[in-house]
Amino acid sequence: MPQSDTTGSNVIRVARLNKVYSTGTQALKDINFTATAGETVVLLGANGSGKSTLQKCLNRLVEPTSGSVEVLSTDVTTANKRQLTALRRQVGMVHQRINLVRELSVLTNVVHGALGRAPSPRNWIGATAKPEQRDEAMEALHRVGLAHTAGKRAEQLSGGQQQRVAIARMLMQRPKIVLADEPVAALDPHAGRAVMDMLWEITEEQNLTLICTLHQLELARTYGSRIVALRDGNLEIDTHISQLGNYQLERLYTANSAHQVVLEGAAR
Amino acid sequence: MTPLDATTTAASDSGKTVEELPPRFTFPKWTSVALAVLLLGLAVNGLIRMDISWERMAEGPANIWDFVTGAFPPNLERAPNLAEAMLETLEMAIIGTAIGVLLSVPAAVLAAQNTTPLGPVGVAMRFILTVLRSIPELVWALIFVMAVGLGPLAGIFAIAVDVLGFAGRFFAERIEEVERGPIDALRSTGATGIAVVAGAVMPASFASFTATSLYCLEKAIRGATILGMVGAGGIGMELTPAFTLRQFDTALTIILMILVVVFLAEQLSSLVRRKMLGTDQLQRAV
Repeated sequence: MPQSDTTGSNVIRVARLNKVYSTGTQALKDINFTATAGETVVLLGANGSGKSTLQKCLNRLVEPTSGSVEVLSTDVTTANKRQLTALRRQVGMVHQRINLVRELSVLTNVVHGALGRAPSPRNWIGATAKPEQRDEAMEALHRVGLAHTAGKRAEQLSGGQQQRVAIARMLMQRPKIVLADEPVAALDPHAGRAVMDMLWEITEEQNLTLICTLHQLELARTYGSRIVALRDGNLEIDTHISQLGNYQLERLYTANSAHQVVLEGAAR
Repeated sequence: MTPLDATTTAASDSGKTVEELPPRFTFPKWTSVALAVLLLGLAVNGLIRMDISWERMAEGPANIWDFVTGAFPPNLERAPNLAEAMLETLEMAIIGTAIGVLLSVPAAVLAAQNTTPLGPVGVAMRFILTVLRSIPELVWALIFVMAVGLGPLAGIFAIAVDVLGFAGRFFAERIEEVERGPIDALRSTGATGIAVVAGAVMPASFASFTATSLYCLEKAIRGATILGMVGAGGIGMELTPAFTLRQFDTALTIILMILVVVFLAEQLSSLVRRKMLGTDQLQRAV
């Protein structure tokens, strides 16, 4: 991690993290991983490699089995309900399935981002929200280029536009860390690029730490700088994208058994 | 092959793979037979025990003929009074439904498994709603007539309780179907439970709540027309005396009025529903 020493202190510290699901699947094996303030990390891996689990352990949407997780100086594994809510308020999320409230207006959806820090019942609906929140939401919508859609119902927007609204909602939360879980997996390539560009620009401009899971190699090559790659719950690679050969990256997507790797090798 | 053999082959079928043609007739399971015998037994016992008089049944057609001839033409003499009673019926139904629906929303939030603040609270709330629903509206009317006296107030309470039992359950079921994603997204911003319910659960359920409420209103109007028979206000209060005093022509007027009002209520509710769904949804799709 060449840049981690210069940009700032560690905001995420994961040590010897294990996660075993109740089904017996070991999703994470002894993961050690740190991220500094303002850093952008791409978590790469095939489906089931454990990248989403690792991300969800960061704000305890998934309960870690053993090991320690420290995020923004909060010990996540031992935090009580109040500390956890306080932490989640500072961690913005962008979801693969977008997760806007489809029946509500775009403006209301963005205002909802502020509910953690401005819990007034007025902010339940955009129309009644406080002027500060309404203005801030419009600003956030402006930032993602969708101010003109503020009055529409969320479901009337295209998938790419909806994900940009979700980014505006995340901005409204004023987070320090952003967790993006396959943010463009549900979008077509063109809309996907627009969303990725926006996410990268915004987190850079506001100096946010971004942990983004991806499964498409191409996108990782285009956008990644630091790549953390998981394979079958093991952290396999943690380096700058330029240090990575195609072979190493593609190896992430071969099946777990050694048998399979041999077969692949034989085919070459 | 005896019938007994048929059952044994049917039973052993599940164990091994059978290549022979399945029998045309397999003997039903003994539980089905037992149930059928029980129901038949009750029906036969009833016919014997009730001592049904065939002579009185034979008089039926003549009595109905009396009613028909007595009822035509319908007597409009008391139409203004009856219209007032009908208006009272409608108002009872509207007020009762409104109260019931308003109470149903918090009740459903407490009852739904995904929004209940505590597991046991949900179980208790669902039990209460089941009790409210299991007791017929007319029985509620009797209870409230006893509690608050004769008149429309008892009817309003009876309707409200009935609507609460019905709408509370359907609202709760709708809440349980709400997509997880937006709820989690709001939760992850640090929003409180109430804010999540107001911001994500209610908007997603609103259309379904409205449709259920309209159906409740329709049902309440139908129900309110007979609540008066036990003294709980409305047009029903006029219907019983009309029959006992053999004023069939007035009775027919009342029945026709009920018919018209219930029909209009149904039309109105389906009209609103159509407006809500939009023409898109109602286009023939298959």
